[in-house]
Amino acid sequence: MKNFIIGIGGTGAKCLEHLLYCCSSGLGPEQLWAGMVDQDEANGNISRTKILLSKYINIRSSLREEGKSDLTSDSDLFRTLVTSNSDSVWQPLRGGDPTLEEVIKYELLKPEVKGLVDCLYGPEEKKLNLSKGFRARPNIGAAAMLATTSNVDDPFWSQIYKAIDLARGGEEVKIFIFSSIFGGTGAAGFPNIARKIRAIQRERQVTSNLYIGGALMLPYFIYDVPDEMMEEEVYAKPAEFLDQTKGALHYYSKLFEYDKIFDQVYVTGWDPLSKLSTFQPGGNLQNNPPLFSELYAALGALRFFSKDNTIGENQEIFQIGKNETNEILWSDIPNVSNNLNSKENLAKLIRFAFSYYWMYGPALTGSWSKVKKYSNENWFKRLIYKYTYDNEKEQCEIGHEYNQEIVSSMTDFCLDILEWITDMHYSTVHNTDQKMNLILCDFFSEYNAKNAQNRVTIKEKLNAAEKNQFNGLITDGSNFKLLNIMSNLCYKKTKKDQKGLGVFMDILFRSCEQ
Amino acid sequence: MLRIFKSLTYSIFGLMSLGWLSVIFIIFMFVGPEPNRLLDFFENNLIVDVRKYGQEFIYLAKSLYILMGTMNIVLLAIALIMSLAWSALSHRLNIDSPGKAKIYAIHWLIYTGVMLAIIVAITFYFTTSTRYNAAQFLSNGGITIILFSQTIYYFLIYYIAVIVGTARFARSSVLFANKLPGNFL
Repeated sequence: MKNFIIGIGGTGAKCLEHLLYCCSSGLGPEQLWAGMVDQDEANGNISRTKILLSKYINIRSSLREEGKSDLTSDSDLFRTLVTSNSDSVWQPLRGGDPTLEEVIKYELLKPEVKGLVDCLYGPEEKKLNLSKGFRARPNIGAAAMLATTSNVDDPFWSQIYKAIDLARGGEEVKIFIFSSIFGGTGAAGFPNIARKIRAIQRERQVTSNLYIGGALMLPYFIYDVPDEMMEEEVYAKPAEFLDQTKGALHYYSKLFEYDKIFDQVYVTGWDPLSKLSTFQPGGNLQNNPPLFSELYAALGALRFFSKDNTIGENQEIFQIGKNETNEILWSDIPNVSNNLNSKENLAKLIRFAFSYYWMYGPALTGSWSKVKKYSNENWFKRLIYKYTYDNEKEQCEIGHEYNQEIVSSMTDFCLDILEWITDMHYSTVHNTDQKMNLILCDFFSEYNAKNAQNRVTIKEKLNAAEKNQFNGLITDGSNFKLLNIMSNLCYKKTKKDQKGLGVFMDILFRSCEQ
Repeated sequence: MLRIFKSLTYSIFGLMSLGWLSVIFIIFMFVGPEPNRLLDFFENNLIVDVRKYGQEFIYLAKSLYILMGTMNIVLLAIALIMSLAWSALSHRLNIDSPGKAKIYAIHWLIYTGVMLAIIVAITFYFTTSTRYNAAQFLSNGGITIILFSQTIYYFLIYYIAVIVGTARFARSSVLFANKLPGNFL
């Protein structure tokens, strides 16, 4: 089975971000190709996911290197083999600062067609600079996207062609699309990209084995637009989100009635809307926080990819919601399948990030002369010394550049995990009556909602009292302590064929299980 | 909990490695004095010349054997309780991050010091007690021999039991226990 995931627009990228964290916790499928679509390539949300994607791919490959550092295929840590194009983002309109007029070659159109275009688009829309996306105007986005070609030579579309060819060859192929219904790029791309895929499928005469799923994000956040900002400019106006959604849902209901584009659609929203404290119309400064409802979309995608998911003949539409109180609980997180417990895996990942970032990562960082003070400790002896010992050189190679690269990339990735979960924890409920009751993060982080580029600051070091609060990190009343992790590290059995630092990483991850 | 039970089992095996000698010794003591090397050793090294006080050693020996037997039961029980208690408690030491086990070496040293003090106190109590007639006839040299031999022997029993019974992650807090192979027990 081959799986493909496409995140369209800023929301699509953020859903993909959640999905990657879920994949690192072992909730993902065996294999996944990931790509993003956005006209605004410099967008902060897109770049954040792009960086995360490349970090994931790199760390996974260095921890799955046969004979060197190998977690082995049994390990849940970074289970999913995620691949992507060298440039993971597809920009529908190439060239500097394109406008709709240029894209549809307005000047060359016949007068009657020009008239039609004039009816559909105002003068400012035709001349709108599209380098920062479609600014919540799906009508512009749709026209621009339909004007582009799905060329087989294009790296993005070549993957889709490949997927369809695989389906023709008899392999089951699943394509999933993340998008918002109320934005510009997402709302325009969601139906159009799916339709293009179906068109290619028809063109190649593939009748089975290709399934398309999608997560459609209904309005789930809102922001205050400063009065002084962009009075004249076209941008995503929160006040229009609900109207846009209403219109779009009406459109989809008609579309789905006549054309089975999607096999499964997962619809998610949030009420009351999360309130973002910063607003940027686009570009690298638009760095919106990860929000809880995006996690639902990611889990929807993982459910779609799950082997247990049986896709029927009829189009299915799924909705999900949390409990009716104002509290967000672990029980609100659905399982991916009967065998994959989302809560367990995510809790394990968070504990892993915490213990690695503050306890074990620093202990393993540096040259042998710095690290050797731990050489008599049992966890080090059985998991590090034994597996990084070079028989030829007769020395432990943990201080070697190769191992140190893994240690530092993992530290970096763990910091990302902590920032992600903390940001989601704070930002989802900021300035609302809601309460997030998933983790306890006040003791290791600081939150500044106004600082879009650095909302969350994770402490570099923790004192003993702060470390002792670890047992309350996951708010499920489990009282799982750092001592339990240390104990597990010393007793959990290693798996056959595990090599190098892969042994330690896998055991540490498994040690974080309740 | 399973790990604690395993540790206790290993600790009991550690106790048995030398403890069987103590058990045999105690049995011999309660069977009573019989003419053999041990009786000669007791007469020549532990007891003053009782004939000076108009007593026959053979009558005193029975009391001495009961003293030694009872004392060894108490000392063995102490070594057993202390080593098992450490083995179980070592799983509860708050060793939650790398480098922290060494800090608990202080705790182990104090704990072991207390154990040694108890052994010395018990030995001293038995060898000076008026409850046992034989105790009044123990020579100074004899008391010293008993004190040293009992302390060293029961410390060894305790130490072996503790080395094999301590939780893996707490081994750095027990002298030389961290030299054991990583996956040993």
